[in-house]
Amino acid sequence: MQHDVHEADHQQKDHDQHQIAVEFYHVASLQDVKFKANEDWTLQHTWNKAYEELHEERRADDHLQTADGKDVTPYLDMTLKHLYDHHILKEHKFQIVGPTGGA
Amino acid sequence: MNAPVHLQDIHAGREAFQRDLAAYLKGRSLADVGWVEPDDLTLLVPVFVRNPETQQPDFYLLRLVFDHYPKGPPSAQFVNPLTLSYEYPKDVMWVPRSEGSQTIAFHPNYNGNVQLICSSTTLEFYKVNHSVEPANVWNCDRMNFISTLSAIRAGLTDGFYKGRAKAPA
Repeated sequence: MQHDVHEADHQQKDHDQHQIAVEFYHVASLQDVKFKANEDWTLQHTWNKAYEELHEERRADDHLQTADGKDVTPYLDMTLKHLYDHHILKEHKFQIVGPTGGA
Repeated sequence: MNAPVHLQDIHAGREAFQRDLAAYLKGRSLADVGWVEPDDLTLLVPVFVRNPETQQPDFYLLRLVFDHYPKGPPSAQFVNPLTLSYEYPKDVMWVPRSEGSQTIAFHPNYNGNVQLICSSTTLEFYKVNHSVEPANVWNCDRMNFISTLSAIRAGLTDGFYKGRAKAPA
């Protein structure tokens, strides 16, 4: 019994250690949302989860960028852990933005 | 295509700016986010960008004016932080230099007569009659001044930002 409790505690700690606090800002609606993501989630999955939490529909031409402006749409198939370990992400704050043009 | 400049409407601009600003701040003060509102149509936003050579932050001051908002985007100009104005070529160092972005460029003296943050999220872009893809035209149903700040920030990330603009020799 004591062993089971200890094992459950261990599993919970292990689970918590793989959770990352993420933050998404939806520019069109001026709303933000924060939630816990698993570090093994792909960026695409995490982005999809953000729309659910925001209660917003995804638009086909939405883009994802970090809070400091880096376009991360090319990395949607990679996991959060991979992106962080490879310094593609410095933090887990994102902005969902619409299309723009210029230059 | 070219998109028209919407008519100036100070009353609508003031109302929409205050509405969107309050929605963004969510109870925080302007001081909390480091912004200044010198009047009810203008927002001053400090912008810090890591210099690729020195690795130190370069400071710029962005001025947004909301007199065509929300049907049109805010005017966006980098200004001299001491004078809060922009005069070419004297103030050219207060404009960032960015190369390689497909969505934005920063021109200290576009066509010899205006500073242009060349993005469909700025008023000046439409005033110079710049061509634009239909999908990128300012749409107040899904764009607001945070779209402008996000677009500008995206043009100043590592890889694009090259330091301060310089006047021609």
